[in-house]
Amino acid sequence: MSFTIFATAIISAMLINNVILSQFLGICPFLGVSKKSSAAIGMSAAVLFVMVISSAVTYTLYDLVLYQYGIPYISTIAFILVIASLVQFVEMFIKKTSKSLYKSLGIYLPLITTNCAILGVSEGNITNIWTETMPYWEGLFIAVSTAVGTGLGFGLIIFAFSSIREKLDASNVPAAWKGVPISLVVAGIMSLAFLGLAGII
Amino acid sequence: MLVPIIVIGTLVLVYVGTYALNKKVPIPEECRDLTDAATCTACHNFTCSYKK
Amino acid sequence: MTKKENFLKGFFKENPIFVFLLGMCPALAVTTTFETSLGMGLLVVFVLTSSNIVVSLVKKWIPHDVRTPSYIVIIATFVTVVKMLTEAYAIDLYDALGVFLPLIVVNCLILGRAEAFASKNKVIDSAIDGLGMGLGFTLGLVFIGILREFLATGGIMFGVYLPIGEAPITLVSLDMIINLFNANFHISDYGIKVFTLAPGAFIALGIILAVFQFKKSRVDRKLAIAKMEMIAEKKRIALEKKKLAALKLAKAGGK
Repeated sequence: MSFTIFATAIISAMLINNVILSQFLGICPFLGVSKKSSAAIGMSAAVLFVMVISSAVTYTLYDLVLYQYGIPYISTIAFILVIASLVQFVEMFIKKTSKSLYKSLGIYLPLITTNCAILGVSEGNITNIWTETMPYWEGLFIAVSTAVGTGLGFGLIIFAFSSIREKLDASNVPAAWKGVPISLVVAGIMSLAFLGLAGII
Repeated sequence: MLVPIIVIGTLVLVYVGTYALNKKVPIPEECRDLTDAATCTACHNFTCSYKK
Repeated sequence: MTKKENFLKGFFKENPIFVFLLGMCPALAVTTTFETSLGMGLLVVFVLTSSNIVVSLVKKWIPHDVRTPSYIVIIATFVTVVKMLTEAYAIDLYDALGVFLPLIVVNCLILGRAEAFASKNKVIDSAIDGLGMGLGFTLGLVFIGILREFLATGGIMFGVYLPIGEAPITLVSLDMIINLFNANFHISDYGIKVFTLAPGAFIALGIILAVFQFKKSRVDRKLAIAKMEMIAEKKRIALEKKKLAALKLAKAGGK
């Protein structure tokens, strides 16, 4: 039973409602990501890690504190503070413990505070999953599964796009379309392809 | 009225605390250049990845 | 920089969307219709102007090390205010913007202006900068919104999401334009539906940015040609001077 929920949440967040191609979150790193696939992997690993922890923490905060005390209206300011301090904490922890991990993943952490995908997923959990009657553990489980799926979807698209960028840079693009415009059109075509996956569930 | 102030105040203190702590821990020497390069992949310094 | 230049720079010369590519997430997500773009833009204008004012007011008391956290708190406060006001007075707009209303917090434009401009300038200049940049952002959003709505539905509606207190009216439609030439002509169900969907957003913004880049490359080429001509002219003048000097020298030698 719970595995079905997990698989459904992951597939729907990763492929059907892809975070970049259909929710438009995290466009900046998507367009700015270098054509090195190592950078793409490091960036998406950092995003996945922070996204899972932050959605668990923000869901808990909302359900057990903000809703209980009748102050759900401060959710935005509370969430951005939670995410920002989480990013700082994780960065400090990695800096102190492992140099090689910092080299591959930690350098992308400071950029994540202003990455709208993280806050977007936390806010989306509240509006899409949370209801007054849902038990805390069940909601937390769905929220974390959605976060895992969203992070994986982010990584999938960023990685695929870094390979496409490599091809694009080598091909003969008209001067007016070079850079961002052609990237956006390519993203549009990728998005069209992902529309076809809507019938899976 | 008191609860939201306490919640936000705590969160702000936590954030400022972790921020200050994180600033104190130095970045490993060999990663200096890497952090600058990484900044170019996000929108803070977005222009540098395309305009070189 | 005069105050007028400061105000106008955000519209074309330093337009946040088309030149700096900031705030691409809302530029793609909320521009399905003209009205949602306008609403989002006006909310950003409010948040940007007020956060710029407050940041430049308190800049003396904020320690340098905790600058970014303080700016984030200030911006998040104003976004919460805007969110509550929108929910109270424009519930349709609130529903249409959805998660992108609280996401104004992480809009690179707002934090960027606070760090780059408001923390270094006087209150009035910061307010003007926020207003100008915000209106430039709105202009960009509205431009994309009009294009997408017109292509998708063949007309521009007004009054669906913003609380104007009247029934929605059609500002412009393809039928109206055609009826100028040919009376009683109707195209029912005109529209390229893909422009309401996600792929259409990417493609529409791509086309607009390509047009901007095309114009910019034209201007750059003109400037380059003008510069080359100037250099050639200077070379010619220098050569003539040399010839003249040589001629004089030859005459002097002949005597």
